[in-house]
Formats: sequence, structure tokens, C-alpha cells
Amino acid sequence: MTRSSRLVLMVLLLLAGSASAARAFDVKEARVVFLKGVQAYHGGRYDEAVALDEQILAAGFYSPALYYNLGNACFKTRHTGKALVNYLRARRLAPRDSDLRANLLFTRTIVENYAPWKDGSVFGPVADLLSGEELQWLAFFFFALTGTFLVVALYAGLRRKRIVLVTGLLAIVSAYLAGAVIFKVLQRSGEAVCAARVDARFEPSQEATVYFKVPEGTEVKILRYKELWCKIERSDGKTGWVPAASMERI
Amino acid sequence: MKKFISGIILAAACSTAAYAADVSVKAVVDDNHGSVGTGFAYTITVNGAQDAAAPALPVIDGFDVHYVGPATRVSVINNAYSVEQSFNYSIVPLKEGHFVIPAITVVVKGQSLQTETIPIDIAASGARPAAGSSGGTPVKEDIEGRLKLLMAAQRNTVYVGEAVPLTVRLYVNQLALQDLSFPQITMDGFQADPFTEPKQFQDTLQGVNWQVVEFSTLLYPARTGEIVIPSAQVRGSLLFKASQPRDPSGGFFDEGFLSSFFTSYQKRAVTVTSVPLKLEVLPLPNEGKPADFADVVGQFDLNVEVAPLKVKAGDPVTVRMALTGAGNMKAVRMPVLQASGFKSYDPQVKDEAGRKTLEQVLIPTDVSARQIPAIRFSYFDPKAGAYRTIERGPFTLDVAAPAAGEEFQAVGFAQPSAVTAPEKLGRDIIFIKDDPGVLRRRSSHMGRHALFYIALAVFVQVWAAFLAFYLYRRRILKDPRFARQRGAAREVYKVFDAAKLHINTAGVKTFYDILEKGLSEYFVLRLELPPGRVEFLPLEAALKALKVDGKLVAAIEDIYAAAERVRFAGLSVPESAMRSHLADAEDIVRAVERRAK
Repeated sequence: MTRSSRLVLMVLLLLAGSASAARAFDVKEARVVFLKGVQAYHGGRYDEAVALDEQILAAGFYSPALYYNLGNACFKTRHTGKALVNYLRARRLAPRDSDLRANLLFTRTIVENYAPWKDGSVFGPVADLLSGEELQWLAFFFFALTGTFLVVALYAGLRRKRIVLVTGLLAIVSAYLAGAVIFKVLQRSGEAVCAARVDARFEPSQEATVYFKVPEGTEVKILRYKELWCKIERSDGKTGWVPAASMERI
Repeated sequence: MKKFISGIILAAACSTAAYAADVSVKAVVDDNHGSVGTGFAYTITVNGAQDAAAPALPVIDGFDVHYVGPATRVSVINNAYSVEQSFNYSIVPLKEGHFVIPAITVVVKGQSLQTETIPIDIAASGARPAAGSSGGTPVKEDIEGRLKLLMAAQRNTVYVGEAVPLTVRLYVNQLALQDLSFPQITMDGFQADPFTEPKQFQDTLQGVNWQVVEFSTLLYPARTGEIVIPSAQVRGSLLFKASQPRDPSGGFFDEGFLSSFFTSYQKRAVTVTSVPLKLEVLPLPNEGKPADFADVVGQFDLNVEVAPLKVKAGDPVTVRMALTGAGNMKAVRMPVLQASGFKSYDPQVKDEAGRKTLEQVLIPTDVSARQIPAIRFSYFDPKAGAYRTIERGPFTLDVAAPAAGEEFQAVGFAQPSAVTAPEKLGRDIIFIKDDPGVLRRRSSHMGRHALFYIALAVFVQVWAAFLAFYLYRRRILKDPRFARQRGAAREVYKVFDAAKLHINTAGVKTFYDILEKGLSEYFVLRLELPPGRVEFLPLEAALKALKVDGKLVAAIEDIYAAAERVRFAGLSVPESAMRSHLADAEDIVRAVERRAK
């Protein structure tokens, strides 16, 4: 085989590979792949299950059950960090799923030196109970209700005190829900999980002094990026630089 | 000072009394196992005298005896005066064999007192070195002669269940012992408390001074008849100097003090066994046995406290009992408290050293519960050989009715829940889901949809429009001036429409009448000019105040002048001029509306 023909073959293979990777699924195909992943998991072929679930995600589909199954398959392949990431992603979509909560809790117990983040925000209870989309809908509904009630009440000639009272209450609820939406968006903006044990250093350099160890599965916040490094914050407030590739954003 | 003098006088008095009585003598050797040529100490001690003459020792077969000298010791302990005089001799064995140092007569204040005879075993020179004091492994016979374990009970005839003090004494002579264990006794027919911490002292036995380690405990015979307490055993490690091989060259380190620096010690396990002990155990008599007797033997005292004595029905009353005395406390059962009209909680019983306590909470359920009955405790007193009963109480309570809403409610007396061992559950992740649920595309998230934000914006605009219109209507209704001003603009446009119909040569006069009148009414309402005919000067001032363009102001003046000319001079105006005046009038109204906001 000549050099030019080898080059042509490589280009063709590359194009074929990228074409298959970028091939768009429809929903029916995504469901079929999901069920294949379930069968692989049933058969103890956890690596295959991980690959199939990730294939669906790569095609642009997602669901809480998909993240949940992917978390389970990662757990079985002893990738605690990846399992946690997927459980946390699933929790964003289905925060009230009891199976998910149980698995998340159990996985956290096997993370070395696990320390939970303490959240004292007034929005915390609602943000934990509802998914981001549910919160958005709820906030929109109350906002619309507030405006509609005000207009209708004004045109209907209701008593001014009654209008102020009801509109005020509705406005407070709307504002709280809008705050919860913003809180949720800000909260998840920097969340990440350590996918593989790594050293946190004082500077973004391999030569820098190691400050602390970050075990696999540690939940951190990414504060900023600098080239191939990112600055993380631990739940106890300690910060350090780690390779960005070692962190998986939720 | 007075106390000191009286103490001296007392001591002198005591010493006088001591002379008169309690004079005794004894003789001891520091070791009754020796070897030819190795001397040992022989001491005759006179207790209760300090002026005895040194006794002259007879010639003793096989020994060379030398008098070393006297020693006197006077002591006052707790105002008790004692005096002791010792005469020390050095005895060197001359040949091997078994010898007896004879009794020595000592004359004290005219009394002749005799010491005991002392048996001595002498080995050949260097054959039996003293264990632990010189080199060489001690032989078994030598150790046995230097270790004794004696077991003794305070009484040999006792009652069943009675506490019997038992002592086990380990006698050690010229040996170094380490790692001593507590005596081991096989229990059969009796119970025993753990041995207490041992005491150490010196004692003389068969004319020899011994180091004594004494262990004490209490035995409780469990059956009647003759019981045998088996041999006690004490284990320990014997420490002795290791044999040093002699340097055949007779080097520097073979002898002398330097060699002692390099002496090493070795340990050897030893077990010392006592002889068994027999006890005669008597049964408890049937005569006079109380009905509530619960096999408790000893001597006891019972203290009972009840507090508080003044309560409301439903309030707790605490009964505290404390049993003290000598006996098998572990086997004692505390009196059972049975009081009708009370709810009683389980008693809390504690065992302490020589003391047993009970604490029980009673709750009077109503005001009729006024008395806690007497508490009885029966036991057998082995010293008196009779049964005894202690009775405390009864205790009278002052029970008041509770206030409304504070009635007694028994808590914790419901059907007791079954006690089950805590179940140990396995832990793992929960199984996967078989259904993917709704698979959505990432772009379908409402937060990423522009439509969501457009809908939100439209809603806000509609809402704002409704609100603005409401406010406008409300102002029209509430503010007549505002309503007039808004109405003036509306009306003047109607006037302009009406004037438009008369733009032709026949309708010139009508056109200008309508136009002038409409504009005048508009300016009066909008610019709040005096009603009636509008003068140009005030109108010009008002328009200039609104910063209306000067050309428009001039156009107004021109319209008013044309109207005057048509009305009074009957002049004709071309249609183009009429259209121009109408356009100027519309411009001026628009300008005023714009500026007047």
C-alpha cells in the first residue's frame, strides 16, 4: 500500500468514525439503546452499559432514569466519582426520587473523608424539593397569576385593601420562587466531582507544593479556570489548584 | 508544752508497767540453710526490757560462735511505749549436717526466760549457695525450704452462707521473687470474693525471719458438713544470679568488684502450694426462722429514706434503701416494696463496697394512697447464732389532689413492647430502572427556549398595557381638568374634520368661523386661557411658555387675521390658502399636545 492510499484510507476511517459519533438518534432509537444498556447491566456487563448510556447522552438525549442507570453502572465499575456525578445530574431532574436519594447517600458513604456542603440558604428547602424546570414553571405561574389577578381585580373594582393584600402575597411567593430559580442556577454553576484522586496544589503547576489530597468522589466547587488547571474549593473552605481534567462538572 | 510533759509522764508510767509484765525473749537466725565456712547472724531479742545482760552462749557443736554486740530500740506509738533489746552473734558452721541451736536462757529482772531451739541445715563448703545471693542455679530442695504458702481461715466451724475470712500467706526467705500471681483455689462447695491487694510484712517462723506476702478474701460455704478448701497455689518468678564461667587464666575480670558489673540475673518460674484446709459447715437452725428469711447470713443494718412526704397525686415519691454490714452482699436480695394505691417503677439496685442500695420510684395514683407499708429485712446473725429482723416504717404521706389538668396519667405501664434484637440490614445501591421515562433533547429545556422568554415578555407588556389603560381611565374619571384637556384635543380634531367640508369658494366664511371657534375653544381648555374670545397676546405668551415653534405661532396669528378679514371685509380666500391654514392649525394642535405632556 502506497503512502497516499494509506492517507486516503485514514481520512475515510476518520470521517466514518466522526459520522457515526455524530449520527443523530431519534427518540425511538434512544429508547432501544437504553434498553440494551439495561440488558447489559442485567448481564453484569457494566462497562458496556456505561458505553451505551453515554451514547444516548452524546446524541443529545437525557432523562433522570438515564443518569441514574449510568450512575449505577459507573458504581459497579468502581468509578465512584463518575457514579456521583451522574446521580447528582439525575437529582437535578428528579430530586424526589427515593431510589436515587438512597444510592446517592450510599455512594457518599464510601467516598474517602466525605464532608457534606452546608447550605443555610432560605431557598435551600424548595431548591432541594423541586427540579430547576419545575421551579421555573412554578415561578412563571405565580408571576402570571399575580399580574392577572391585579388587572382583573382592578377592572372588577375590588376593594383596594383586598387587592393590595392578595397581590402582595402573590408577589412575595413569586419573588421567592424567582429567587429559588436564581439560587439553583448559581448553585450548580460551579459544582463538580473529582473523577480520580488528585493532589490540590498552591499554584496551577505540577511543581507547586501539594496543599491537600482530593479523593475520588469529593464534591467541590470550581472557582475559576486557568489553562489546563482549575481552582477548586472544598466543603471546609480550603482551596487549591487541580488539573481541570480530573474534575467532572455536574 | 503541757501536752509534751504529760506525754513524757505517761510514757514513764507505761514503761514501769512494761517492766512488770509482758517481758519476752526470742531468738532468730537470718538463714537456717548454710554451708561450711559461711557465717550467719544469730540474734536474741528481749522485748519489754532494756537492762538485760548479754547472755553467754554455750559451746555449740559444729559452730564457731562470736558475740558481736547489743542494740536497743525504744518506740512510742500512739502513746504506747515499747522497748526492745537485741544481742547479736555471728555463727560460722564448721561441718556439714543437721544441727540444732539449743534454747538459750536469758535472765531479765531476776526472771529466767528461754529462747526456742532453731534447726539449721549446713551443706558442704560451696555446695549449696544461698539462692539469689550468690552465683549458681538454686537447687529444688533449697528453694522449697525458703518458700512456704500457708492458708488459714479465721474460724474452722462456720454456718452455711457465712462470710469466713481466709488468708493465704506466702513466706519467703533469702529469695528474690517477682511477678507474683494471686492465689488460685478451685471452688467446690463454697463461693469466694476476689482476693484483695496483698500486704507485705516481716514475721518470725521457727526462729527464722521471713518476708511475708499476705492475701485475704472472704469465703461463703454453700453446703453443710465438712468441706475441704483445696490447696492454694501462688505462681511467681524466682530471680537468681546466672552462673559465670570462670576465666581459666584467672584474668582481671574473674574476681573483684568489676565482675559484679557484668553479673546477669535469670528468672525461673516457681509455684508454691499450700496444704488443703478443712471447714466444718453448720446448717442454719429452723428455730425462729422468719417467714421472709431469704438465706441472708451476716450482720447488717438497713437505712430507709422516703422523700418527699408531701406530694400531689401523680407526683413521684422516691424510696431509698441502703444495706450495710458484713455478709455476702452479692447474694443479698433487697426487700421487695409492695404498696397498694401506688404505681411503682422498677427499682434501681447498685452494689458498692460493703454496701447495697436500692432506689425505687412510687407514684400515688390518688389521694387515698397515704402510706408506704413497713419494710422488713431478715437475716441470720452467725455470731449470735440467731435470726434478726430489721423493720423500717411505715411511712405516712400527705397526698393532695392534683390541680385541674394535672391528673395522674401512668406513662410506661402500657403493654410492654416486645424486645427484639436490632436487625442488621445489608447495604448496597438500589437496582437500575427499566424505563428511561421521557427522553428529552437538551434543546427542549424550557430555560433554553427563546419562546419562553418571548412569552414572558409579551405577558409583561400586555399586563402593563392593561394597567396603563386602567390608570388612564381612572385619571380621566378622577381629574376633570385632565379630562377636559384630553377632551379638547379630541374635539378640535372633529372641528378640523367639519372645516374640511367647507374648503371651497362658497364656504369661506363658514370654514373660518368653524376653524377660529374650534381653535379658540381648544386653547381655552388646553392652555387654560380665560373663557370667551381668545386674545392673541395671552395666547402667544402661553405658546411661547410651551416653547412652541415661532413659525407655528405666526401661523396662528395669520389664521386669526384671515378669519377677521373674511368675516368683516368679505374678502375671498383661495382654496389653497384654506388648506394651508387647516394644516397649520393641525400642526399647532399636535405641537401643543406634544409639549403640554
